[in-house]
Amino acid sequence: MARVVLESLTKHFGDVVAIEDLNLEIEDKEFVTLVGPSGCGKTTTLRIVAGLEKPTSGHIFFDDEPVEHLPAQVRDVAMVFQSYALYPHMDVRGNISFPLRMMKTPKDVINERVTWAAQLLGILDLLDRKPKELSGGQRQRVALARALVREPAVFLLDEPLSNLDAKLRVTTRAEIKKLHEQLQKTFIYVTHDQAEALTMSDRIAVLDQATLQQFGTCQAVYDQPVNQFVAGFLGTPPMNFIDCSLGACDGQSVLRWGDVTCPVPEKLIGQVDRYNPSTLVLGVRPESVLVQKDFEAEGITSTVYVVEPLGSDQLVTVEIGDTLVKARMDPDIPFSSGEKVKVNLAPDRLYLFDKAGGKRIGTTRVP
Amino acid sequence: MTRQPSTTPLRYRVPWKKIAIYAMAIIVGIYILAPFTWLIITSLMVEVETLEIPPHWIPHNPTLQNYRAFFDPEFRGLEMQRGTMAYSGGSVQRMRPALRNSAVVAFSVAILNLTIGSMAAYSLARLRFRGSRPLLVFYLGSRMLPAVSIIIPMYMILRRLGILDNVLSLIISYTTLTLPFSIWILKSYFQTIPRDLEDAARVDRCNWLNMMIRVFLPVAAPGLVAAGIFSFLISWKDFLFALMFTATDASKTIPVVVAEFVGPGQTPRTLMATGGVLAVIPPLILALIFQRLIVQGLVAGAVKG
Amino acid sequence: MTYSTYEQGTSAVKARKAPRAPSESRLAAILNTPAVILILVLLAFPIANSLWISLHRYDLKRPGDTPFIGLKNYTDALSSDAFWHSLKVTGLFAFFAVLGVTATGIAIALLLNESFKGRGILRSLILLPWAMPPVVNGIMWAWIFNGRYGAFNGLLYDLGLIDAYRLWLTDIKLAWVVLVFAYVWNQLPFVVIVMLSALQAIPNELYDAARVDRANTVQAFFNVTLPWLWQALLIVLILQTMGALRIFDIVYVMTSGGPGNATDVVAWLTWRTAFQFLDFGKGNTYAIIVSVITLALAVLYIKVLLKRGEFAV
Repeated sequence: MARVVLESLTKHFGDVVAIEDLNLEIEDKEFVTLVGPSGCGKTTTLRIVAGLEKPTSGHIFFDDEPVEHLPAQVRDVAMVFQSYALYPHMDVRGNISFPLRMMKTPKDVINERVTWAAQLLGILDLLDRKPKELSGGQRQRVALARALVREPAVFLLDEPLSNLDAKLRVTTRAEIKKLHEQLQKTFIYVTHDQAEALTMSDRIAVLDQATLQQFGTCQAVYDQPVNQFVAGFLGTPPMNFIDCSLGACDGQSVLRWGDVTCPVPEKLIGQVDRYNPSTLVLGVRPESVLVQKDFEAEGITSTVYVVEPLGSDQLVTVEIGDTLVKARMDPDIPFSSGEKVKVNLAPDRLYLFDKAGGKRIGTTRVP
Repeated sequence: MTRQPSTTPLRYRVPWKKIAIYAMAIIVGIYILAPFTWLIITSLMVEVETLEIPPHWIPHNPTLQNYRAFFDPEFRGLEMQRGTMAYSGGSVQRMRPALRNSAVVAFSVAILNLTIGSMAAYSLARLRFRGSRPLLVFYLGSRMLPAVSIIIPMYMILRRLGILDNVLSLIISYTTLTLPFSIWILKSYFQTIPRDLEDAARVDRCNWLNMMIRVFLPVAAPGLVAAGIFSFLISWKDFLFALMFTATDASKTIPVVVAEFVGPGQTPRTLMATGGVLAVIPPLILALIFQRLIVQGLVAGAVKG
Repeated sequence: MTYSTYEQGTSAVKARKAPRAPSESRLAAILNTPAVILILVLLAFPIANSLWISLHRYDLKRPGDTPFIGLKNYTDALSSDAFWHSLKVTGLFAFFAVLGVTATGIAIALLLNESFKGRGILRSLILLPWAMPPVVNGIMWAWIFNGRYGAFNGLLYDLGLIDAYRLWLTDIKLAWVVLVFAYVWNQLPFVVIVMLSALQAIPNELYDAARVDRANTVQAFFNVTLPWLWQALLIVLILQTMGALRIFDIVYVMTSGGPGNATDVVAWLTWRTAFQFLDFGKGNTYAIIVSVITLALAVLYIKVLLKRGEFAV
């Protein structure tokens, strides 16, 4: 139906490289999110898939047919823009029916589709209003309806939620996901919000600085990041990174930083011999850090730096050997600044990265 | 800490500033309206009354006969000095065709400005191409030159084209004169339209022309109206070119006919005033209705330049 | 869903170095063609032609006899008393007209920037004088300033400011006053609108800061308002000067260059020379000299004022 393949896609704007050699295979009916910081090339990629920009080189295939030469108006895509791009001089009905009218669809089919789309998005009562009379959330639904109504092969969504307030964002996220399930079409979604990406997608493509960092299922990308960027980008609060160096102590491998010596499983060390053992980065997620009030327990000695209660949990930042590490803890345990505690890093949730280049050397996390 | 009461005794402080402002506002209002009003008053007078010293601020015998003279060719009941009838009668007759000519010219110029101007303005606002800078300078530079310096050659060209004494000559020349400013206004306005709209239209199956007609131009309507009204008004007001390029009723526009009132022979002031009022009504109405847009256009054209 | 038969791409797509696809340039070329043709034919060409004619003796009273005479027309003009007188009259008029319209315009703009009841109405009325065709404007003011029956005389007399009616338009010293009045009234709206929009662009915090710094109204004007206005002022001065140097309509209907040659402005002289004396060569020469002066002034204004307004915005 609509398998989208990007092959060696490159886009230059004059001297600026927006996308460099991007390769991506998106299966039919998949919900794929392109995620990354501003300027990473995700919106440009989306626009190229839409046909709004021509790639400098590379190919795009829709179901094995090359489409990179086709202008936007003949590609079988629909797009929802960040600013919604509703036509201000038409009412909602006019906006939604616009693409159908451009394709010279017969009137009764138009009415049928418009009603269907409006109903699906709960905006039947807004059909006669003008965009300027609508709230942000309503406008967004109209933009979605306009995209739906053509039943295209591929849906492209460019940060559709970023102009909504936080609460609306969360509820609309779920609705879009539901929409995807109902429609059973290919969705390509762009956002800079990693939480959005994780909650909605089947697979995530993480981009940074015009290149694809990693492409895989949410779990895979979260648990098995290929480099420090991906590891640090996904997850809130982000993964803790500790600069350290490799050493040995009593025949066991240890990682050293500050005055801390931390024994680590051999599995983690893996292939350090290929890298410089004195510039390593230890990665551990806040949910894998255990802070214990009981000073007699086993663990690394540290001091509590600051406590941030969140209601559902609390974030305890501890100082371990000059490095600050955040831990996510049960909200009922009372911690206070300056308290002396013992810290455990879950041995089966550790990551080791090469400081130069950020590549992942090894991990104890089992996929 | 408790607040200390003000040491100055509470006396009634005269709001000098407010008084000055309202006074000035009234003066300005009078300054703007008085000349018009006087023109209108004069047009409602009987000619002898205009010769009263000191002038009557309010007509003692207001009458509409001056207006009738313009619109009713059969009307003869006008008391006028002999000998002036023939001359001013002629001019009076010419008002109606002149009004028609002016309307045709101004309207055509507006339309031409909008079509040709939008095209050029769109390219300058949206497309990136080598030569957009020099083109912009070209359009702007052409605004800088006084009409007098080109009128003679223009006259010769139009004569060769055989369209002198034809509204066409005015339409073409006015369009040329107003185009640079229209392009400037339109370009500024087009630049404020979000590009997303055009992208959405493209994804919604529009080719460029469709996109312009269905999406871009409707959204740009205020800018278009401003440019259109502007070129309309400029065309309506022009005198020099109309004087040069027209000879008979077939093409004479309002300013030319009105200027003919001022000439040898004593044209009754009342008729002149009436002619003046008639000449002014269309642009005034347009200015009043569209004044917000005209202001926006002027500002865009002048300040943002 | 069928795709239009574009080139079904092959795998060898060469990297395109050009920043924009060729179709954009093509579209741009098509879009600009009508405008460029029109302006070239009816503006650029006539200007060049005008220059060419000015280098010949082109007198319609002697058709066919149009020898190239180089700069003789120019030297004749520059040594012609009539021309210099005309320049002087025009310059004098332009000076007072621009001064008058700019000062009045700024004053009214300042007024309209304050909030008071009825401001909206005043703002909509302010455009009206501009809508009036200059010829009608001229006739109107000629009537108001009429020596025998004019309203202005009547007003001044009633107010006791004069004891006898003045013959404005036939008095060599006063005729140009009337012209200035007429011009100022007609052009005021433009100045007001431009200056008002510039005033409204000034952020309010600056005034607040000035007030905290104990500045009174006058000081605030000179230190906050004025610096922000230079750019708008520049535009106004250039356009008004250009306009004032070119006046023709009001001279035609009000004074015909008179009394005598008291109001023989350059545009009038040019018109007379070309269309009454039928000396096209000389006429064009005058026009070109005026154009050069106008451009020079524009450049001067830009140099002087642009520096002042550099910091704003």
